[in-house]
Amino acid sequence: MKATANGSAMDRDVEAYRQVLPQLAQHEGKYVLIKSAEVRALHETYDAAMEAGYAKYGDAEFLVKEVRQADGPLLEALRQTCHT
Amino acid sequence: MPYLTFPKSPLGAIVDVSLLPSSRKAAVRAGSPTLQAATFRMLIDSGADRTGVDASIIAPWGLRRSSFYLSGGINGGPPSQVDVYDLSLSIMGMGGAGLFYKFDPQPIGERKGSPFNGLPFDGVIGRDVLDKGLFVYDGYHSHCVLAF
Repeated sequence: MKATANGSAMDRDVEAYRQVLPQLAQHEGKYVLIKSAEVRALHETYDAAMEAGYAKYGDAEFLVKEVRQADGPLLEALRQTCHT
Repeated sequence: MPYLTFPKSPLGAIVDVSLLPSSRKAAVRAGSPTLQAATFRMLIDSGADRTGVDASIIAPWGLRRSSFYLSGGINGGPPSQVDVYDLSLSIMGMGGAGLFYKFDPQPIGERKGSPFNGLPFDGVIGRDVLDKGLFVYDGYHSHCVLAF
């Protein structure tokens, strides 16, 4: 799953999370590892996702986020706020 | 189970802490300059979902955030994004008694906008940490007990 967005690497990763969130509905409560605006893996725990991120990407930027469908409307509202 | 007993201050249960990037974060930064621990005070806040500290404490380290969560959006207010960092939180004993308990790693949110300005603490320890142990407030004696 690959998303496209502008902004910094981390902003792109947040936007990527927003875009793929509907597709992750069956993974609620798991932790998604996103790197370069692309979903790389899903893990059962935050720590497992972080360990995997460090092992693969070292000190480079990556994002770990708990999958929460409730984030969808909040991210959309945040996006609208940023654009106005 | 080690425990810490301390008096409640007029503003609540406040403890001395030391904060650093997590040891796993430090491991992947091998070769980079060693970062200085931040020492300050935090309020134990059982009403807070998550532990967070003033952004000015984390900023000097120049770390990348590891995660984020969304806060607010209640009472018609706009939501906000809280960046989370992969840190190590040490709760210190009272009166310079050294380390009481260390959480390493511990995800900690960055509170922007100086929310603790004028207060005798620079962060809150929320239920994400308290859920790992026991916190008792003895109102009669105005003492607190923290155990992990």
